[in-house]
Amino acid sequence: MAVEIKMPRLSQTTDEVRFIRWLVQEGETVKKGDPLCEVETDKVTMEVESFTGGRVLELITRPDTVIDAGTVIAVLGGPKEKLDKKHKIKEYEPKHQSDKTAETAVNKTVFGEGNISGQPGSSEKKTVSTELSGDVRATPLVRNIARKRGIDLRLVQGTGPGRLVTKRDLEQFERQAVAPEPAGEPSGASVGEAPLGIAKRLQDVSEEGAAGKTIHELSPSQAAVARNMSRSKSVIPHYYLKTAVYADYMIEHIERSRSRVDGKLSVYSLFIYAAARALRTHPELNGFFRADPVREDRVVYMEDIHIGFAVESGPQLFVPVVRNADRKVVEEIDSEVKRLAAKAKSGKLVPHDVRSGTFTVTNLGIYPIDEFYAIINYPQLGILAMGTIGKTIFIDDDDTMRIRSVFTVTGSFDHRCVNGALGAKFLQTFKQIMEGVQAV
Amino acid sequence: MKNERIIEGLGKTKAVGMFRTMLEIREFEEKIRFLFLEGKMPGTVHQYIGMEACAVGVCAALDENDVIASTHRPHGHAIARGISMDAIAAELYGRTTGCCRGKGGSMHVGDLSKGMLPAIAIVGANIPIVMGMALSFKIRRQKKVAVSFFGDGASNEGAFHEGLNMAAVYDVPAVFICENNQYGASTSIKRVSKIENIADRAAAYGMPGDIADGMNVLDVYEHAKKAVDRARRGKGPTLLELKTFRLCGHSRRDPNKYMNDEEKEYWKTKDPIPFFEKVLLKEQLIKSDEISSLREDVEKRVEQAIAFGQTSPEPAPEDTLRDFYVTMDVPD
Repeated sequence: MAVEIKMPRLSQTTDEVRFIRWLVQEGETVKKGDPLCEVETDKVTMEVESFTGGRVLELITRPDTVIDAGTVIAVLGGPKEKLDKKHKIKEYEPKHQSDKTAETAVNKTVFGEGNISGQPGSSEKKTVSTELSGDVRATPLVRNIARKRGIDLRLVQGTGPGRLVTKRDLEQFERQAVAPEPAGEPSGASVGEAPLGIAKRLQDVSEEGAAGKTIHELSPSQAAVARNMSRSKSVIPHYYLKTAVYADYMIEHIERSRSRVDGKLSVYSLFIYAAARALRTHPELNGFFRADPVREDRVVYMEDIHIGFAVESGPQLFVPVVRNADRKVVEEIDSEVKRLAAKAKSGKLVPHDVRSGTFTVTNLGIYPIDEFYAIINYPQLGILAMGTIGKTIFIDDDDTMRIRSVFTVTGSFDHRCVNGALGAKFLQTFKQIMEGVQAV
Repeated sequence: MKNERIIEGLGKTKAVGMFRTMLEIREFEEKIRFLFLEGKMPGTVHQYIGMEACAVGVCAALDENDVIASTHRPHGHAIARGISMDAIAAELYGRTTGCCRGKGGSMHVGDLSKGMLPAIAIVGANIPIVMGMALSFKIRRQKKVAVSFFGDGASNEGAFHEGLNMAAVYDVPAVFICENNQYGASTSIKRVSKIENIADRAAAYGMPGDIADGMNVLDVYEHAKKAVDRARRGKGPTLLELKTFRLCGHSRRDPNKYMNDEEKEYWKTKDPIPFFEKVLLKEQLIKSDEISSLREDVEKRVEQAIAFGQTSPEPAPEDTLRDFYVTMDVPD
């Protein structure tokens, strides 16, 4: 008989666990007590063992998703057994995906209600409209909030079990809806184009006769980001240096790492690695500027190199910190970056994760951004910004041409204590490390 | 040689009975472990896997009227003290048939009528209580002994110092059993104590400090017997340290990654159950086929106990205030 394996309650403080990976495959036979999968609770990463033996009929939970205790993660059965229809019918949705897979909810076929997508001529559009008119699954609390705020729940993408709309989905939906309007567009027109529920809301809160304004209160963490940004830009005399870094060496390194158990190294990790190593050579960029109203201003150089890296989560900005990055090998940095980035995306960073940074890096390379000028993370002395990797024609010393990968890195520095030559030397070292010219 | 001598003193029935109790503890804990994974066991549990020789060895040295006090890891002590597995399982499920009528749960199992105080889960907290209990035995001239079980973590608590000092000062009939399983939750005892043996601390209180191999039930029994007899004769308390190890996490949610593999492998080779099994076979007190049938029987018993727990009724709302107050005659 098929047995459902449920996620045990592994933490005393939360029901949520991040599902990391499967340690078994479909069709494999497991014994009672064998480890099935690896998960991460709010405190620790651990293996979950099977409470029973049998053949793995189906692995339901996808890696890198956040699920609740009690969620059915797999189905086990006898040696000859086929997957029971009963189990196929149910569809188990992850609470939310750590990575963004935006369209999934719209295009998903619903098991057991196959007639919708089975109809001739029924296309994606039809599926959507059916969903809109269909019943929305939401808890009374969520329905209540939606009613009060005038939000049409049918427009909100539910990420809970069976596409249940959660409070978080509602908040996410609101955040997206209040994103700043494109400049120059008449606000009246944008109201007309806004989805039903939102239009009402926009008019409700209109101020001083100008329609289209919304009030969105910043979370404490984001209010801190806002304060820090304006203080940095108004206090620190920034200057900027940019250089082209050839990425062939780095890409080769990443490709070689593809077969690792923990998967491919990320560009960001190598970026952090090189920045930390370059800072070790140039400690005069690793520290803080301290303005002193009474005595002379001071610069505090730090011995430890803790690199913060910018991560977005919707409109929010987080800067988790890789501690002692100059003393870690790139694999260690990579696993930390992935762990911290996942935590940032799921809103689970704790104060310890974002504290004590001595230098910051930021990366918009996944977008078509060639180069950009970042604002220094106050009161640090500099920040490195990385653009997208592209191809270029490179002319060798003997005048032969070849195609190489390249990206632009821009350093922003505090001119009060980092002079142009210092910034330039630092960038030079960084470039050499990235290009594999300088061994570390 | 030594083991043979101890077994001879115990006799066949008692020795085999101790083996059975160890099997019961292991099987009970394993069963709970899988029920927890299955999501059928509520709460958290702290398990006694690997430490069976400690509880069984000590309890075998006690009389019916003696009293033990346990910790947040009490299942082994309760089974060794003779509380039925039915009552323990029901307690874990929070059912009325549990040894605390379902109001205590895993960390408070116990039954005073069976000589076990409901377990006290706060680290080190049972030590002063056991000292008080032993003092009352002494004042009432009862020939009873009070036994406190605690871990290495508790030995750095203030209560340890206060309790042991006072027990020594009043020469109370108590035995303080430190089950040194090397880790206070995730903290190695080596990180928080500069001395090798916790038993050495006894010297500071003027009581004997003794050490036994906590993975050998016979050694535990012999040393415990000495300490218990001493207490019963009115000679005062003993601190007995049992060197042991838990072959599982601190609690069900603990993957015990702070222990290194060598350490785990080393202690696994010292697993008290296969060890005792070998001794019994060598002394021809039991045959291999008897061991298999014993194991089967134990498995069945544990299954019955779990079923009993699962199917017992939950406490009713009107039971809320039951056991809160004591009824007694007040003299005029």
